[in-house]
Amino acid sequence: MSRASLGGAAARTWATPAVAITVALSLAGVAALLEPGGWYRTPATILGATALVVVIARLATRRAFVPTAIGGLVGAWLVLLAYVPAPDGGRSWWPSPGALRSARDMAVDAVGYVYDTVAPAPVTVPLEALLATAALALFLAADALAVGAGLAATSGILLLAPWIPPLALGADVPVGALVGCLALWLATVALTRRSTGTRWRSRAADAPATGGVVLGAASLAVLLAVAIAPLAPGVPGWGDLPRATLPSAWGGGQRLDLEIDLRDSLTARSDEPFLVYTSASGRVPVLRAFSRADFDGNGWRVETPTETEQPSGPLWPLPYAGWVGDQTRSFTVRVGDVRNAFVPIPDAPRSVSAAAGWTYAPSSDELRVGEGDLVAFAQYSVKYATGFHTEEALRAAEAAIAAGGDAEVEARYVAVPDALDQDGVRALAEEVTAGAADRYEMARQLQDYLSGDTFAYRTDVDYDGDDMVSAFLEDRAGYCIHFATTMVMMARTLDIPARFAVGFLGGTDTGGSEFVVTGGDAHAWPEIYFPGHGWVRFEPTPPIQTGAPPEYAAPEAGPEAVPDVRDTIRPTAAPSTATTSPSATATAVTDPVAEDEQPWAFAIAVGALVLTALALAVAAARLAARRRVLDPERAWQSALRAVDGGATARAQTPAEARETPTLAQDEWTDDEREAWRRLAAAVEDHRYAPGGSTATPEELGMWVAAIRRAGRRTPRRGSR
Amino acid sequence: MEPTVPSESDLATVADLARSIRTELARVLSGLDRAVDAVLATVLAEGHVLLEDVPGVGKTTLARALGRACDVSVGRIQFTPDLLPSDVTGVSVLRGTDRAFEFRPGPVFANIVIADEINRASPKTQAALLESMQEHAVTVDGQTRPLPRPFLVVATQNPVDMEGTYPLPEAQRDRFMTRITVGYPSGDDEMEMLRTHDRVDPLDSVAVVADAGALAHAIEVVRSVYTSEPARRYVVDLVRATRESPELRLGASPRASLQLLALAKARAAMSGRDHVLPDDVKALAPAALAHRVILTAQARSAARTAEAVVTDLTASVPVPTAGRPVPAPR
Repeated sequence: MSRASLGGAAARTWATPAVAITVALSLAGVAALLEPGGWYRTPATILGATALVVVIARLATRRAFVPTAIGGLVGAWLVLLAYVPAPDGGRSWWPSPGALRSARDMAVDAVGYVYDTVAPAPVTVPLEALLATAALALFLAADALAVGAGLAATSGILLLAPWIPPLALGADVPVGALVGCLALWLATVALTRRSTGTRWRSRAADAPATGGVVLGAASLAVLLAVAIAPLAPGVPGWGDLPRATLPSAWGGGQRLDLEIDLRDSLTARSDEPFLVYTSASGRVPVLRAFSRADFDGNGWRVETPTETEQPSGPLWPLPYAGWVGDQTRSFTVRVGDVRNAFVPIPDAPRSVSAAAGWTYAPSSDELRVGEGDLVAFAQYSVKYATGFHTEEALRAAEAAIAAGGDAEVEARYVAVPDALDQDGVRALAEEVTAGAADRYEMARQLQDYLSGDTFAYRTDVDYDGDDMVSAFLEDRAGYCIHFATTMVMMARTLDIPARFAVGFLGGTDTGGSEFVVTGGDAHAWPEIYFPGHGWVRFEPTPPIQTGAPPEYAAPEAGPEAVPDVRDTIRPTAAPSTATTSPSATATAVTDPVAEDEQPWAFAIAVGALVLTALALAVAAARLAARRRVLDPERAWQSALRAVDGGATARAQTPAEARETPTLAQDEWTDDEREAWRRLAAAVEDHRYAPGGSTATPEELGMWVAAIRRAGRRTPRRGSR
Repeated sequence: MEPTVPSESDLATVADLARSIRTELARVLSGLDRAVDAVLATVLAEGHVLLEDVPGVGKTTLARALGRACDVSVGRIQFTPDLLPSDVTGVSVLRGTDRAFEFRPGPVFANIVIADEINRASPKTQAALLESMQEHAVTVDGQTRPLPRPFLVVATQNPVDMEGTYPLPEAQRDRFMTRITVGYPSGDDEMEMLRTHDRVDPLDSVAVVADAGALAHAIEVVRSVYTSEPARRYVVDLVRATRESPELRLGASPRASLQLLALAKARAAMSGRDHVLPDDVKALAPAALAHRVILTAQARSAARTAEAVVTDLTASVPVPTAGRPVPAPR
């Protein structure tokens, strides 16, 4: 009995669980892009159940791909059962039209959510269902390739797919899981290895299905890659990628990601116009995008506003009496091809000509476009109050503070993370604010301390550890996010409600009252709460980068000056005139190409496609090569084709072909003639001898290779 | 199920035997290797041979040399128009001593029966021989007497000079496993013949190399030669092709399939091989099939011969491969 048939079947039974565990570990890789939680339990359970079904099916049938089909059906049903609600709200026990509609809506939801959020994203039910489906598809494809088609090594390319986005983006992937994946993949290769010393049995029965299954597996992999890729733009470190070099002619648009790991250096950002506004009354100090409340020591947690309202009338978190005479200004905005959902607005009470579906969240003071929509190409006009924030108004809030006015805001605005060296930071904050009479003065002193000579503005920082703030206070170098975060934390240790706001500086004047705001104008600042007044911006980042602080925060400085150099996002801080010209903006704004695509999602999808095509090509080539080489019959046909293009008569026996000079063998070497003779003898034995051929696949491969060499070298004689 | 195949020593014995007989026959008739091989294969397949050719090419000499090389009983019948069936099978005579009938076996009671000019005898006599060939037994006076084993008939006939002959009908020809045309020797071979046959009867120089037991054993070994499914399929394909050929009015019978496969086994064993190759089938197909088919009138008028048609079929019927059909040439 052959060695292969002893170990083979039993060992291959274990290959399917190995593939399933590999895929389950890959979920840990994807988890690097998501918020921690117990979301993986249901997908892992579905994966395990499906793997069990596939194993049982493999034991029951010798067909290569029937178990995959059965596993696919069972897995799809489990996903339906676990995630898709029936129209009446209960569970979907069978794929009714209503359930399928729900499933479609969930898929749309999940994809929209992936586009809309930045990592680490909280896992919603649709996203979890999407992940479960993707994991299932990946498992079935990899298992079909590794166990069904016997191409375990090639299946590694598929199993690598979920690791590509986190690895490419430098997310903190669990190294143990990655190593485990690689080890299990090697185990799969070992478990499915065929003994090459045994006589090859024809795989003719499997062959017709193989091509289709490989194609199907590849398609699944592409779908998977496309499903996962959109997660990528929100990943920390995304800004490291050379987005600015992507030509806008690609029509990809840009997405500004303001979530930066504070330990990382600030690197070049886009010079593409983000928006253009026309303001007859000059520059707008800042355009606010959104704010964050929860800090973990190194980064601000992404949150989605829950309570929203229609954006009508003056937008301000606190009741606003109304416009005061001529203390308002107006401007109109044209947004470029931008993939964000927030609408930039000034940081004072304002009213916006909102489009349908836009929502305003008072708690975080954010204006967003409708669910699943993008701000790209939006046009709106804004009226905002000037002179709303004044020293007098802020000092007047002291009475409300004394009356416990801070209770109006949530406790999280004074929370500090456990990772923070609270005592140290508080001691410093108290030292800095010693002698301050009221909250306004405290905020001023914190701002002046940070923006003074003590701290250096540097974009190349490399902080380790969990406590960025202490590291920053130690090293005294950083960029706007470090300054802003540190001021928020220092204020919070003094029990002053504070939060972190993100938006843009006023942009570059291009003449004609038109201002261009690029991705490079992105900026972050702290906001301090004054009861009865609202959240007020301070500017702790050195003025050399951001220009002077607001007038109310630096009365002696006069009106807010235009910064010489921007806080940028580009260390060189030299605005590029080429990309900020109005004409470029106009082009970008009127370019309707590919509105719904993420440039990098697209690039990753293309990459995955190329990778899959590669896997497909390798798999096809290996399958073909195995068929050609391992079976004496196929080896013989291949040799005949190589020598005379298949012109040798089908009525010729191998012995006749071996002996007859129909083939131009005069110029063959002795080795080549010997290979020809031995291959003919092998196929003769294979076909007619009681014991079959004893030639090993390696020998057959060698002989075919020799004959091919000879066939290429010598001209073909005409047929017979 | 593991196929039973002859042992290597058995195969070597058969191959040796075939080689020795061939050597002995070559002493008498040089240059007739193809015919000799076909005759040997027929002998080892325990079939009957019909040697058909013009007079003087050595048909009878070949048959006699075969009989002499094997140490077995040889019967010889010279067929004439007045030959009676009892001259072939034997006759019961009244014994003088006890007045009982005693059976005197005819020349057919031998291991090798040489039937010279079989087409000269009357159909009745021919039928007597052919029946014993088929049944391996002779029935005289209601009593069936088995013929010795191995039993093979080597008949000769002359295709020209047909006057006063009774050509074998197709049904009778089917009883012969092979029809072999001896053919003229080459010039060199004929020169050699003139030299060696100058003084002595070459038949005297033929040595005995096999006895009945060795022959029977060889026949047993040949029966156990392995035939693969593709090889059997090739036999069937070839025989079916004769039935479908536009040049043939009558194709070969299923008996032809059986006998062609038996012949192929014999040839395989003669080469010391334990399995049949399509090459064995191809080599013996003209001898095994040509005398069983009938050409159409068109083919005959186009001067085609049955041998040529069968040979062409062997060159055009695809050789079956293991597992799947051979892809058509691109």
